[in-house]
Amino acid sequence: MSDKDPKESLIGTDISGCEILQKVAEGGMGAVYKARHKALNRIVCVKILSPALANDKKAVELFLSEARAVAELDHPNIVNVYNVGKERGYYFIVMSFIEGQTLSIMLKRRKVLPVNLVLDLFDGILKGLNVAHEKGIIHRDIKPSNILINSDMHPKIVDFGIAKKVDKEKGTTKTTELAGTAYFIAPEQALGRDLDTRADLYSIGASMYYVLTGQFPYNGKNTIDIIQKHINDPVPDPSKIRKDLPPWLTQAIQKLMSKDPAKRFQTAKETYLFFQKMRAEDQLRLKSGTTGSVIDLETDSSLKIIKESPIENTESIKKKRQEAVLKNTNTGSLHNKPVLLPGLDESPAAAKRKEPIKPAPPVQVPVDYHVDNAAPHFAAPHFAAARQNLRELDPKTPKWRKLVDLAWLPVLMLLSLAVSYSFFLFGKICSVHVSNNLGVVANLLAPLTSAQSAKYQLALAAVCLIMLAVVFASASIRAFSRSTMGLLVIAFISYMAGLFTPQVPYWDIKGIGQFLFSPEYSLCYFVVAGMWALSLCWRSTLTKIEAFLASALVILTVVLAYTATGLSIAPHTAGFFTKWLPFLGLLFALLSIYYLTAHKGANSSILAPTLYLFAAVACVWVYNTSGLAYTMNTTLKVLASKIDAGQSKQASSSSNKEANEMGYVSLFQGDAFAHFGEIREINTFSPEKKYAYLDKQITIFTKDAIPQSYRPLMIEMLSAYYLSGPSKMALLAWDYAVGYPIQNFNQNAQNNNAYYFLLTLLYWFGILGCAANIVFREDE
Amino acid sequence: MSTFDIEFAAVTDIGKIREKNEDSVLISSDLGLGVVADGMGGHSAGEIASNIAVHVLEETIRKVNTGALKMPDTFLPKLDKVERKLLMAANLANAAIYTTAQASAIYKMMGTTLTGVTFDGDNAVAVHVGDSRIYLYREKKLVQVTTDHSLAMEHVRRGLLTKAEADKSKIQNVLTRAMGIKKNVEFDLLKFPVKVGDIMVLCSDGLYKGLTEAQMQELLEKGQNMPLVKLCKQLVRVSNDHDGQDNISTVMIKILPAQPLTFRQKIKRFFTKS
Repeated sequence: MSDKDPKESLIGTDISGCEILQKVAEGGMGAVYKARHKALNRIVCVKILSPALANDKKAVELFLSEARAVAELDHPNIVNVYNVGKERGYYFIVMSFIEGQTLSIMLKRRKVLPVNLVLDLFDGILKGLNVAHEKGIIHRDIKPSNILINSDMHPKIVDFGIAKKVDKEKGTTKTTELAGTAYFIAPEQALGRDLDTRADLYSIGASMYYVLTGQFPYNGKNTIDIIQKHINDPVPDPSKIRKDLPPWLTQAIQKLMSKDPAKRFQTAKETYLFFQKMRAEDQLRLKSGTTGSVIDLETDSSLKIIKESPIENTESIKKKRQEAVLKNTNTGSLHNKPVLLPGLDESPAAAKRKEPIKPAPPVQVPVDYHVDNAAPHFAAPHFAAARQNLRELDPKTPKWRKLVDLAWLPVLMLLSLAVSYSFFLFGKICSVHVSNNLGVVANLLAPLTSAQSAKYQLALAAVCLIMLAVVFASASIRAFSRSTMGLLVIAFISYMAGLFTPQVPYWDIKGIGQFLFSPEYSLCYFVVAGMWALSLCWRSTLTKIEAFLASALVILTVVLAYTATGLSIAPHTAGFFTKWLPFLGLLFALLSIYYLTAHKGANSSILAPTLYLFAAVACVWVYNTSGLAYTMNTTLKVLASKIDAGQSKQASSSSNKEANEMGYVSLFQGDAFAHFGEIREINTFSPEKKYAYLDKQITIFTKDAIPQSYRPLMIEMLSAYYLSGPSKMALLAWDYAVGYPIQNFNQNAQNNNAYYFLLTLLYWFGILGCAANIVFREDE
Repeated sequence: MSTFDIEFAAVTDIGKIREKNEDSVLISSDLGLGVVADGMGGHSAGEIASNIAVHVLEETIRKVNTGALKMPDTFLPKLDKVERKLLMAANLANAAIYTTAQASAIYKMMGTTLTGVTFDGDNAVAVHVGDSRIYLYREKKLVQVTTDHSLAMEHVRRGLLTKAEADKSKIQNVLTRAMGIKKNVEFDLLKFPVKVGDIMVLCSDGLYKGLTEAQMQELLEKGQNMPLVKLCKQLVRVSNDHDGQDNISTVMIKILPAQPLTFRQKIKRFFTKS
């Protein structure tokens, strides 16, 4: 065998108490060894499953099924199984060793076997088979090569490899091999119908025919031809080939080979009983005849177990013809032509080659699969109009293409730079109008509505909006879509960077170089380019390293969010909602990582992971700032209620102390805004008067606990309270708290080397990853 | 400019009971190639075989296109260039599988079906061996274009079985021809004209075991305006619901009217991966 592996050599080793002596046969499933059972000092046969298949459940199942099938049978005409199991990683079956030869070898050597010898042999075979049948086991591959004859002319049936219990029939796997051998296959087996024990009887009949005449009952140019003859052709008459067959035997063979199982002998027992009866009658009639003792057999011939895989018989024949033909027939056949078997039918293929394919041959619907009226649709006229060339399918992916792609890299970088640059400028202009007294959302919009507008402001705002529109529009172009999200993020970050740089109107900056190379801008650029390049790498096909980087980025961003918002005030963990926020953030981060790494579908986009990432950051952010917001809110509530109480006191001009007491009580009961509806005169004050009034009130009630720098903020929120109610005030407080870290963002960043380092890393990973993606990507 | 635009979609599913997916599918819009391969060899590496089949096929065609591989002039000179290319690629794939199978005991006896379609002008050119199928859906009719190389179908051809019997037969899985089993295998080479609106369905036997032709036709008719991938998935899902005993794979090819490439599309083609 060509695949013999020295490691597999088991000669001399010990399996299940048997010393392996020599290999006697090898097949696809494994090998058969001659071995000596040490304890019994007896020669046995050990069949070992190929180690390559030892991990294959199906193979092991099939291998063991033989042992199980045979183990149920105890009959002198069936090979005995002594042991089965697994040792040292080898599945093995220990069977009785038969010194002798197969029936097919015997026939080849002797050309003609005496009728009586054949009948003797088949008497034993049928008896053995009967036992198997009684246990419900169908052999399914009865053939002369599966019958071993020992030196005493005693037959044993072997190779129950494909035998199955009748009730165990199950779904099949695809195979090129048919269970059973073409020359001896029963028609119902060849047709794939349900089998019963009578299929074996057909094979017995076919085997007898072969053994007696030396010829196969049906011969054909290929396996299929033979198989189909079994199904279709009339039963051959063996007596035409061998004249000395008794007529009853001819009839019996033909009866066994009936197409209809119902017309055969119904059991093996019936068959051998019939044979016995007829032979007895013959002997009685002829008063003569021996039972084969005259046959001189080579008793000392070495054992030969020929493992024939089911179609190996025909294979060798086919192979020769095929090789001769295929040297010059490496072609296909038209679909509607009768299917050719490999290399066996040269003429149609050759004819086809001589006949050039017509320009537009109508597809002919094979009759068997005919669809009504289908044929007209395939007529040529339908295609006449459309007869132009298809798009040139041959791709041209030479190296210059990659170079051009690489050339696009700086172009896109410049684009992202331009976008980020204008947004940075925009942010810088807006920063002039940033008021500490406003929340982040209000601040983002304030510059646009500010009365203090500079002459470039509107123009630049317009440019930015146009660029934003361009970026959005590019989302509809698939080429850019993968970087669109990056560009949007870039725009946002640039804007933020501009917004939070020192508040100098940009027209006040004299040198443009100073402006360009300010640390804020380089920081902004790093973020921008890094995000963009990474977004280019985030494709549906992430390598493991890319996936790792991407998920690292998620974690990094969330951690960054955590540190960036690091306030001195602890988060407000008493609130039901805020308590769960970090977990929610964790969930979102995990989802983002999952979508980046695991979810690699063809349509996976960057959108979902980005959204999840933002959600995660938002959760962390809100959680971290919740302490500040809560403190502010509580302070403001108390303050407001105190002012309210003071006012109502003024309004009712002293008198009722109880009412005053009640007012405080209601405060402690949490009903801080009970008087809200009543007191509105404060709204009628002018802004200056209102400010002064509230300032005074705060001083009164907090006894200067609140520093002056916070006064404007507090007053802003309190006036919102009087104008729009407590919920508005709470909202403003939250807005301020959430925006608070951003107000110190840039300062934080500049003072943080680790932050710089991380961003630089990000940037380089992104650019390198992107370049590598272009250079090393697979040819298209 | 082209007469057609061709849209490809492919779906493969492990089915309900199999432990591994031995099918391989491949679509390549730049080559205009769609391939389905159904690996086999219960105890051998069917998935390896099918994988080799589709990849060697694709690689060879690509190499021939780029000139990295020259087709010998003596190789079936009477056939068209595209036919020769496809057939040579299929033959090389068979050789690759056969060599791999012979080189190792693990892969011994592995094999695969192969059904691939590419285009040559107005014609589809298909190479086919085994029991995977090509169906052509045109003007609300579904027709099986290929013939299965299975014993059951051989019986049908001889009239020993009816088509309905064959569809249920146990020997449906017994192939008369497959790649990787022998050094040389004879491929069916088909060439047929296609036109705008056609849908070609390449599928492994898993698909048609769970779907009758009538059902398939109905699904295709209903899903004509659906995105091709969705339709593809739907077919596989329905088949899996009905049967699911085998791996289910399908490649769908839709012939669309050609549109001149806009600047945008040029940019898109430039940047998008296959």
